[in-house]
Amino acid sequence: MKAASLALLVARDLRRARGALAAAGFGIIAGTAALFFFLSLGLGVRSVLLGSVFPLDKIELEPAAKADPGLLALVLGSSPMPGIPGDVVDQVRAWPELVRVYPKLKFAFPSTARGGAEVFGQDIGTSEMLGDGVDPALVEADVKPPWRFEDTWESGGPSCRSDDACASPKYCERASTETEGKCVDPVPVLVSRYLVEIFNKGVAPAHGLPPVGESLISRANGVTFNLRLGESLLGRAKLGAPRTVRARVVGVSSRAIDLGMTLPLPTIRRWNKEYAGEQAANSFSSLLVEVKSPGDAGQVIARASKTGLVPHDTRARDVSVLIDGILALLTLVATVILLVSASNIAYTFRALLHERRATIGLYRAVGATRLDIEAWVLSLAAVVGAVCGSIGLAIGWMAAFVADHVASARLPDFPFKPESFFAYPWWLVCGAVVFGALFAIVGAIGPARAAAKVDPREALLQGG
Amino acid sequence: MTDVVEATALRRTFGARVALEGVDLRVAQGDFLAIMGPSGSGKSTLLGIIGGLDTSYQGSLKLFGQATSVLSDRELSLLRGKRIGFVFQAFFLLEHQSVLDNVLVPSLFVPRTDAKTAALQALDRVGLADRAADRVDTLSGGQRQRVAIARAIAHQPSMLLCDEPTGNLDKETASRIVEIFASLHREGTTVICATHEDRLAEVATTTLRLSEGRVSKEQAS
Repeated sequence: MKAASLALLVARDLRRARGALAAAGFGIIAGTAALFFFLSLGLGVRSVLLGSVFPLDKIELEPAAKADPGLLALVLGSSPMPGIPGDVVDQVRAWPELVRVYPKLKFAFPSTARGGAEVFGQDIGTSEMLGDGVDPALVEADVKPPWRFEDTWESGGPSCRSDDACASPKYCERASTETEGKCVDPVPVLVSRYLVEIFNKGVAPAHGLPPVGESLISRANGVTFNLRLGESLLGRAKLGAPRTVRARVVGVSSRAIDLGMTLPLPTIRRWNKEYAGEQAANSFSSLLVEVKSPGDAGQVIARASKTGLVPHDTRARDVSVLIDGILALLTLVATVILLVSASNIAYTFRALLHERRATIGLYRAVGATRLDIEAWVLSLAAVVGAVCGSIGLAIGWMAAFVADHVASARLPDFPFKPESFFAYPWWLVCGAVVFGALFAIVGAIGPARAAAKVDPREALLQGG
Repeated sequence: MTDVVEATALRRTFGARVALEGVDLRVAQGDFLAIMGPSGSGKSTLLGIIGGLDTSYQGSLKLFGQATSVLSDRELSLLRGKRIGFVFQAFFLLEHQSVLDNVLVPSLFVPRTDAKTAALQALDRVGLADRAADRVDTLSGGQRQRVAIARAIAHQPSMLLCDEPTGNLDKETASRIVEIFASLHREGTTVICATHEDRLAEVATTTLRLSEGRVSKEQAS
């Protein structure tokens, strides 16, 4: 039978039995709508959580906990910082699951920060400041021109003994062990989106301060503040004498440390050497590794364990597992609906074909093969499924739109609140229609085979 | 003349009931065979076997010189679709379709390039060309049977099988249907009719009488 003839037969049946077919397809509509709604919601939430809050494509590995002396010991400098030696970094770089490896180095000395009058109208500060240094290549895309993310000491000059000798905004940076320093630009600093969100949604409202965000960076001169190195509320560094350096926020980056600030690696190396010694300058506190795909994360973590490294933050993995679990559950619910609808299709088609046994007998008498009959029934089911799947898709999409609208209007503002809770990848849109058709076909397989086996002589005899 | 149907020792049972027993039959090209007998004598069963609709029989059957037992479902379906036409007592028309669409049904499964022209010619032949666009549920019983005949002859079959074609019709209409079959026979179509209708037997070249599944009498007119 030609495709055109098949299409004609199907079109006639759709017209003739539209009531019964619509009733049969109701389950497909409900199932497809549920499947599309749940999956697009899950994918949307997953995209926000794993894309912005807990990125899963990068894992931070650090020495195992038993070697970690704890934050307080580090701040006070009373214990040597556990480091990752250079040869281990080279070893990690050879892992096949990784795209890149970015070593990171934490402050190995106490520090505080104060400034921000350009934005807030008054200086604000912290009595303890955490920081880390990263390879500039890791964050170069997050730095807004004209700023550059590099150790300003390298491009500094001329020599100086005090800030008076330097043209603003340069200042005189002088190590505590030296009598002479260099006129340098403020040290570039990156802050995390997480910190900005927490500040905007939590700290700023509590203190009557304006929210910042990306506008903070676009200000002509950036936001500058002073960093006090070598001492904090909790104590002083073992080596060196406390001194003040100037810093400037040059960007917001998802790769910056969550709570604290991120500086160029060479800068931290200099300061660690000054306040915590050679070892704190030459080994790394952690490695940020970029995996080829999120699916490789488990393998990377297993390899890291053998090397004495553990993930710094397992939230991404936990969230991923949680979302996958919820998605699997919701998909199961939608699949059950579709399976029930497939059995509904099977029942309706059985009844429909029983009613039309004489027609099947006639078709066989005038030249239809068994295969023609089967193709006719399955095509009819596929069209019913695809049409109902499309309707379900539209309903699911509308429901998602309404849910987004309600969430936007009713839910209070919270960190990382997305513009949409849903994601609509092309494969999900096509998949919803295909699934509708597929389940309808599955439901119609039994009736189609039974129709193909109808004895035409008997059918025509009974039909008469 | 070539035998269109060559059946030997046909036997058909339905459970314990024997519907046909030891039926031998030869029908030559151009013959008009009337199969007569009381209800339950096996007329429709024999027609079903001859038409390739029933393959669960014992004995041997050749249609157009081919043994049907070796044909696949596809080959047998093609044989029916190209060389055999069926007319049934109950018409079996698609009620919601037009007259023309009904006549075109066989061409859905065995496509022809000139299907529409042939369908219109067949309708003209049975005197319904002017009703081609009408829905069949607006037609009378006689007109419906003529549509069924047009459907059966549109692809110009070599053999026409009719099962009680006048059974549901009044005398006058039945006469008209008989005349159509006679005319088709005159033009060379082999016609085999299972019937109670004496007038059909009168125009047939041979009459086969069945009784309790056996041939009781075969008589040439």
